[in-house]
Amino acid sequence: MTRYLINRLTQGIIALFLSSVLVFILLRMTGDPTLLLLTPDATLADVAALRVQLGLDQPYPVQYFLFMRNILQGDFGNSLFYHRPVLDLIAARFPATLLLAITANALGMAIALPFGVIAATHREKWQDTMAKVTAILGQSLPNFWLGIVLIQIFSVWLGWLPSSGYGSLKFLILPAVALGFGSVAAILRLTRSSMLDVLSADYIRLARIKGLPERLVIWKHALRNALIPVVTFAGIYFVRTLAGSVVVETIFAWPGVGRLAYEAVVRRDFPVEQGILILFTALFILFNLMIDIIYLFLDPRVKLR
Amino acid sequence: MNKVFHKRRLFGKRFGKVNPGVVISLVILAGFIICGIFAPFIAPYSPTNINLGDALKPPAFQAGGDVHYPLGTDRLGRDVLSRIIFGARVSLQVAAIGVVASGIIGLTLGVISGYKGGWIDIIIQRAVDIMLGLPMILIAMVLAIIFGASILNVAFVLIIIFWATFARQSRAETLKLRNLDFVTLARTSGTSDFIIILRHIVPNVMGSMLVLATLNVGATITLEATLSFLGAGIPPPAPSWGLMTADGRDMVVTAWWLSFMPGVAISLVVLACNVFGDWLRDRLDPKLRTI
Repeated sequence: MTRYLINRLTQGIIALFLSSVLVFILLRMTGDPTLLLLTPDATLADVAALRVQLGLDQPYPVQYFLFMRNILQGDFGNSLFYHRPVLDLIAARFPATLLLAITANALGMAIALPFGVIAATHREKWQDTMAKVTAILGQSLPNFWLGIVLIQIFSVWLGWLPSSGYGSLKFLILPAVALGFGSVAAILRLTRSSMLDVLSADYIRLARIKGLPERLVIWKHALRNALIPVVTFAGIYFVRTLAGSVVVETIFAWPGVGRLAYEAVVRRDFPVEQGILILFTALFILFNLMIDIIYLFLDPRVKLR
Repeated sequence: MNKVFHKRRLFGKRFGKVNPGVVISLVILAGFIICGIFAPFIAPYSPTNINLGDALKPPAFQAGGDVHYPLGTDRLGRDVLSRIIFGARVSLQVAAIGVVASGIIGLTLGVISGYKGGWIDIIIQRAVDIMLGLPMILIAMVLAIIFGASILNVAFVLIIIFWATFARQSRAETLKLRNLDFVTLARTSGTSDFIIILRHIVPNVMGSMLVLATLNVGATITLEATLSFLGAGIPPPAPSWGLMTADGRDMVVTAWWLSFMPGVAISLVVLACNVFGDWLRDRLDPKLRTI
């Protein structure tokens, strides 16, 4: 187990290193990023000063080293629009994004888990068909369109919920549904197939033979084992919704990092976009690493591999 | 020998019963492709023709609608139906470039990775893992700031994302095939690696590549629409479905059809790809079935 942990940690560090190189290459493909980092009214002297400050007159390996040093010190530069450090801007917006992602995924789990189990225990019946239809819809409907349709129905026609903003619970419902619908589909699919696998196992047959009520067999014995891949996947999906929140936050004017990323594109605010990309990439990798480690404790069978 | 094996996999008895959902999907996909190719002959108007006198007409079935504009017009008086038909062309181009290019790159790297093993395999697999773990929408947005929104930007992003899915799948398939008797036999009889891969591995991997390509067509169309919606994809005034949805976004109260109609087009095509892809997967390889 220790060996597995060390292996996985090493892999995570290598992945972090390689993606930092990749992001560095992506960001340097422009040739000279100084023009993106300065406002249009900057003088030639400003450009030259920034080039030296960023170390752009140095060879690439040195540039990479400087780039990493700045990141590790939390220095992502200043926003061209807000004239404030990028890290402060992101930190101020992050709680809203986290709240939205957690709500969306909790909502997704609360709907997908029971329906996934029911679909598996009612195979080829109408419940199963419903689950299939939901899953394929969730996989196919683009979430920006879903968000607009939700606004159309619940804000414009029915007038029940606000179409945008941030504050009470009312503001949270529509964005959470728009963001969570995709995860309902994915978790439903996985719960169903995982339950089907487990239900054919010997220990389930044994539980039935010894006369346990079917309710206990399904919701306790089977579900507990079927949950292992579901929980892992939900973790991976959670990270994806963090990045996917760009779209939903833009539509619902939700003051999170996603909307900051959208505004940065509109305002051509390069330092902000770069900072968000770097932080989210690191977050993705660290999260995947954490999920693998949690998986190890959830499923002791992994140790044998 | 390998030819027989290949034929059986693609056209065996597995194409048995056909269900109505699949037929409808095929009809939608055929309509989509025809619209994409023959857009100028099908669309009643030019997608960029501005006619301010007819601006913001509602769809024909709604009060105040005009039969000449079945799906209404936008704020510049452009016909929504014509724009959707030309939008099919944009989506089709993006999907074709994205899926074909990333399919070829992914298949090549995946087969080499699975067949050769060793350090090549480790490097390619690490690259695949990292690619699939990156926040791609954000990368596209950074690229949009650097290069400006363009169709090239979209194609580039699609290729760097989707090659990894093809590579992962073709590697897994190659690993299974590598030690089968007919490959071993070819190797012992002195056939070169290049010929073995070309004649024995690739044809047998094609089935699952086809399934993945179908599903990825849907995924690329969604991603292009999302990027265009966010201002990081196809630049205006091109009739991209995502861009049209974004244009109508702030008019949901006065002109609901502007963002609703192109969204229906995206949803139908992506839905059709997913239904058809799932069906194809069940036919070609029941082991991959998930639901």
